[in-house]
Amino acid sequence: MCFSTVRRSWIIKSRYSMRLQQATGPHVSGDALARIVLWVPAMLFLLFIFIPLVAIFLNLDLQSLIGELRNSQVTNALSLGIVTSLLSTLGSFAFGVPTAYLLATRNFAGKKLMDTALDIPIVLPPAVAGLALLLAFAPRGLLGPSLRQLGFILPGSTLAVILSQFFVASPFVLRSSKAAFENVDRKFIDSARLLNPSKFSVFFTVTLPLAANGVLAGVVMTWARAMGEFGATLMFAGNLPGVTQTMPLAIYVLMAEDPIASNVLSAILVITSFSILGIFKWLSSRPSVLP
Amino acid sequence: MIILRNVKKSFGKKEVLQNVTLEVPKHELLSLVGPSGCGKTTTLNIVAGLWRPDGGAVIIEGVLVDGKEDGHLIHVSPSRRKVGYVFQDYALFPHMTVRGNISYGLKSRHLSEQEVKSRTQELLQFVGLPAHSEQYPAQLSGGQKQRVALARALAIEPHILLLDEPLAALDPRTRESLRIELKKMLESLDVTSIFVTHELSEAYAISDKIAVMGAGRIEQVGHRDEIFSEPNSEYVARFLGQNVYSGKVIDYSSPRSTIEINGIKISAGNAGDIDNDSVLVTIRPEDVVLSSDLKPGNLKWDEVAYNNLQGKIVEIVRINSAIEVTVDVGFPLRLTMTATSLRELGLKEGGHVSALFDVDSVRISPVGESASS
Repeated sequence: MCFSTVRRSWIIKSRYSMRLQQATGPHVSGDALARIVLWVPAMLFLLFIFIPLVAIFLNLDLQSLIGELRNSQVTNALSLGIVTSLLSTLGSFAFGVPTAYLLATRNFAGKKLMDTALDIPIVLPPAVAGLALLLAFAPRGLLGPSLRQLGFILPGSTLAVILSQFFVASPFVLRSSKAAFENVDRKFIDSARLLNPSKFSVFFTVTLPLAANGVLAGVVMTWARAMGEFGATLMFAGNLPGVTQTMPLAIYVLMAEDPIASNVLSAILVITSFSILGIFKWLSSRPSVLP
Repeated sequence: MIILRNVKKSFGKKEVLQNVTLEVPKHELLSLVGPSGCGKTTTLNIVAGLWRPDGGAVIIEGVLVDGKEDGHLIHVSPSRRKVGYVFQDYALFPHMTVRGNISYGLKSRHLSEQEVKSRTQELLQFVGLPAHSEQYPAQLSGGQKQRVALARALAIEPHILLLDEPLAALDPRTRESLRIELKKMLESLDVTSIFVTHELSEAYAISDKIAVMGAGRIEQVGHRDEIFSEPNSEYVARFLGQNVYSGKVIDYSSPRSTIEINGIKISAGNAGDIDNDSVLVTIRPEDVVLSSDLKPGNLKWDEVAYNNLQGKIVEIVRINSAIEVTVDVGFPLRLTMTATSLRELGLKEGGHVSALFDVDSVRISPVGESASS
C-alpha cells in the first residue's frame, strides 16, 4: 500500500512536470522553474530586511560604542526605555491576563463588543493613539480637570510614557493569553475541580501552567512593542530627555545632532528586539507543556 | 449509593437526557452501556457535579447533591461530592509527573507532607507504578496512563467512582488484558461505581449489573444474564444484536400460535394474552441452529416444537472467535455458531440450509410494549 502511494505520487509529479514543460518550452524543467519562482522572491525579501540591519552594525566600532555608553542622553534614554517598557508590560500583564481569562471563559452581554474594542489599539496608528490620549487625559482634555484635582498632570511625565506604551502594546498580551486560555482542554480543569475545592488553586496549578506558553509569548510581544513605541509617546508624553525620552525618541532626535549615538542606540534596540523575537519563537515552538 | 431521579438535561435545543432514573446500591458496580451519543457521559458529568441538571434529583450516599429541597435549588460543588472520576482519555495533567498527578487531590486537602507522601506511595503500589513515579504522562503507555488516572481518582478516598470508557483509548489486545486487571482492582475496592462503555461485551465482562441506555433514557436495568435473556423492549433487543421483526398473529391456537413475518409462517408459544394482531417478534441469534441436510418432513416439528425454515446463506462474518451467519428464509435471520461447526457443516455463502429454532425461543410482544415469552 505504501509502495503504491509512492508510485502514484511519482506519476502525478511526472505528469505535472510534463505539463509545465509543454507550457514553458523544452529548456526549463518544471522543477527548475519552481525553484526560481520560490527562491528568488524569498532571497530578495530576506536581503531587503537584512541589509539595513547589517548596516547598523557595520557603521559601529567598539570604541565609539563604549564612548557613547558614557553619553548621558544615551544612557538616560536606555534606562528610561527599559524601566518604562518593563512597567507597562507588567501593567499589561496585570490587566491583560484576568481580562483574557474573563473573555475566554465567561459569556456575557456585549462580550464581542468588548473583545473588539480591546483590539483597536493594534490597528490604530500610534500618532492617533497619542492624540486620543491627549484629548482624554491632558489638563484640558476629557478627564484632565479631574486628574488635575487629584494632582496628576500627565503630558510631560514618565507616567504618560508608560500609559502610551500600555495603550499600544497591551492588546498583544490580551490576544495571546485569551487564545491560550481557550486552548486549555476543559477536561483538565474538570478533573482538577473534582480534586481541588479551591477555584483559585485550580487556576494557578492547572489552568495557568497549561496556558503559560501563550501568556508568556504575549508578554514578550508586548514588551518588544512597548520598547519600540514612538508615535503615541511623542504625541502624549513629549520628548524631554531623562523624563519622557525613550530610545526610539532619542534615536530620532540624535540622528541630526549625534549620528553615532543614534547608531549605538539603534544597535542596542536591534539586539534587544532580536533576543525578544528569539525568546518568542522558542516559546511558541516549545510543546505546550514540559517535558 | 447513587440515586438519579428523573434527571433531565438539554444543551440548547438538544435534549440529551430526557428522563434518567437509576440506582446503584452501596459498594456495587454498575455498567452503563449504550451507543455513542446516548447521554452516558452527560449522566456521569451530572453525577460528578460538573454539569447541573435541568430537572430531577441526584443523591449520593443519602445526601441530595442536585435537586430541590424546601423549594431551594441545591447544587453541591464537584470537589465536595468526593467523586473519583476516570475520564475517557484520562485527562492526566500533562505538566505534572505521575506522582504529581496522584498527589494532586491530597495536596489540596490540608494533609501533612508526610501523609501525602505515604498515601501517594500506597497508591503507586496499588496500581503497580512505583518505578514510573517521576515520569510525565507523555512518557507512559495507554495502560499506564489509565492506572495513573485510577490512582489519582482514588487518592481522595471517594464515596463513588465514575469511569468513562476507561478502556476505549487502548488497542484491542491491551484492552482485553487490562479489562481483567481493572475488574480485579474494582472488585477489591468496594466503592460504589458506574462504569460507562459502549461495548456490550465489556459491560458483561466488568459487572454483574448492567443498565442499558438509549437516547437520553435508561431502557433496562438488571443482572447481565437477565438482560440478555429478557430484553424488555425492541430497543434493548436490537442493541443486544437480536433478530427483531414486526409480525402478525394469524392463529391464536394454544399452546402453539402461528405468526406471519414477511409472508412466512412460524410457530410461537401461546399468544392468548396478546389482543393485537400486530406483534414484535424477537429471536436470539444463539437460539438458531443450521442443518444442511434436513428437509421439511424429516422432522415432525409439532412434536419437537421446532420451526424449520429453508433459506440461502447471504453472509458469513467472523467476529473475534464467533461466526455470524445471516440466512434469508424470507426474512433475514441472523445466528451465531463456532468456527468448528461452520467447517464441519461445510457452509458457504449462497448455500441452501435449514434454519431451526425452538418454538419457545420465539418471543412475541405487542408493538411498542415490553416483551413476554
